[in-house]
Amino acid sequence: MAVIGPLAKTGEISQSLNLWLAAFPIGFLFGYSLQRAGLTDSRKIAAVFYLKDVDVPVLMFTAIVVAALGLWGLSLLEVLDIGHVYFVPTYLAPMAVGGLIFGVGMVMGGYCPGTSFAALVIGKLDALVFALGFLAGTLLFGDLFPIWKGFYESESFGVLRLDQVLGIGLGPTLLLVVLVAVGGSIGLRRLQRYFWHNVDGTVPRGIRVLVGLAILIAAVLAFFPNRSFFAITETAGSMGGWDCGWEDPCESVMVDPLKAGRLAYDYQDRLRCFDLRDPSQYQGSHLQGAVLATPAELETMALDPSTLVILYGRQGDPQVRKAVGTLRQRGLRAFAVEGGFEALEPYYVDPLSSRLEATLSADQLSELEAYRAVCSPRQEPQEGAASR
Amino acid sequence: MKLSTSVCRPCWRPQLAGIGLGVAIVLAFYVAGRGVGATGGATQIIATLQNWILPHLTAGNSYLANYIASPTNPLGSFLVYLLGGMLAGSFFAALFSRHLRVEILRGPNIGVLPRLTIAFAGGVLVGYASRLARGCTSGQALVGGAELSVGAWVFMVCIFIGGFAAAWLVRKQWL
Repeated sequence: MAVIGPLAKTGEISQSLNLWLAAFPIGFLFGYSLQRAGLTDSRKIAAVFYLKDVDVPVLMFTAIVVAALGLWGLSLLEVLDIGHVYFVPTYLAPMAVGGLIFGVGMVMGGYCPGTSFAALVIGKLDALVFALGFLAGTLLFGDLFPIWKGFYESESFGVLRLDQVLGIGLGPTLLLVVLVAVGGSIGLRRLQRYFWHNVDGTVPRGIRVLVGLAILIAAVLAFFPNRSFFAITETAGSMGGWDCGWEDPCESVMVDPLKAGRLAYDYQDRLRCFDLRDPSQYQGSHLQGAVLATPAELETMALDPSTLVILYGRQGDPQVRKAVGTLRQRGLRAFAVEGGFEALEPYYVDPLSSRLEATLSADQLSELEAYRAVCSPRQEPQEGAASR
Repeated sequence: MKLSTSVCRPCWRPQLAGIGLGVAIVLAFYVAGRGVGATGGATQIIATLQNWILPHLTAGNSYLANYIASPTNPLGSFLVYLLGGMLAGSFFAALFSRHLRVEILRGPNIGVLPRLTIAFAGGVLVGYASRLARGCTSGQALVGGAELSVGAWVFMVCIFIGGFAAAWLVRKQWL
């Protein structure tokens, strides 16, 4: 039997091999294909939206079919452990609005991010300008994040798949996706021909054979469900959410005091809180149940993998964020409190002030009552670390 | 049908390039346990750059700080190396087929300055939207599409709605 993937997660290859022997060549294949198909030409991408050249959606449909049959097929063959594959979570409204804005930007610029980077390295100056705009747009979103934070985090459904929504099972959903891809490609090509008369209707034999093959594979998956279908639909997506850690932040490293309280409340007995400030500040005041520690101590501390770790420090201390990164790298679920101890104080240390009370909704207030014991001494004293 | 542009002559058929992209995604699943994505790596680089120039703005920011939380090297991640490979792949594809050329691609009826202005504005929208939607055409639409993610399919459909809706307004740029 073949070596079971994902290789980097099952320990078959090291992190640096994963970067140089996987990430780089995979990116190379990606960039090579994009350029050879002409996607480094803004005119070709923009032409999609006038139905003058529908190569781009045809290419996308093809890539999705190949990737979907590969992902689910390899999992069925038990060559790939799908429980270790990261699944993108669904945030419905932000993704819908993001898509609309993305589409407008794409027809204006003639690129999407990947194609613009691929085009600027081969000398296309309009792609360079587009990429500078991309940089500005990314910083606009990131630096003014508090403005759209609420919307960005709204309508979270976790990992939500089409087969769950449609309720028809994984195999039939895959067949449906293949048929939509084939039908969509043919339909778009017909529209191109109808409006612009710039293509003839012939389809080369090789492509027909490949399309037939894809439909056949999907049909086999749809009509001959294998027992492991049940197993993989259960485990698929269990890696979604937080596990991807710092490499691709799927769950924010920083949480606000209310979110910290909610997490702490949910985890209760599996919770560890650490105070990363100076001992003198800790003596002055700290969260009930929080343990004084330094980042170096945290690094070597034995923590159960099922623990939830909440860290706070002085406001704006970059060490706290780094400590979260280290813990997440060890596979722990860890968070830093945004704004540090100063932000936590009014919620969980001082008596609730009427000013703060006025800013909170009734729901938030009752939640807060439940959370007020955030790092409460349920598990204190913890072995050793506390006494200093 | 043999399409040709100034970046490839003749170009690969879209189905062939689609297979190339699809195989790259399956390889990424098999080796790294995750899909590909162009904007994830780009955002890490952008956050790192801003952190060098304006560390306080970046570290105090609850969004961008995520991208520099790596304890070792913020640029030593899968997506950054993938982006590097992508740039190299495109460069060598153009080099081998003799299509490296400095130029500004635009429709026949638009000047250089309006083209670049609209390109920049489009870039801002796409940059913003990629963050809002947690990915772009590669990481969200293609990878999420293969994972049968509902959000990814909604994203993809909305890209085309947005594009077709705005196409008329910028038609002079392309047609």
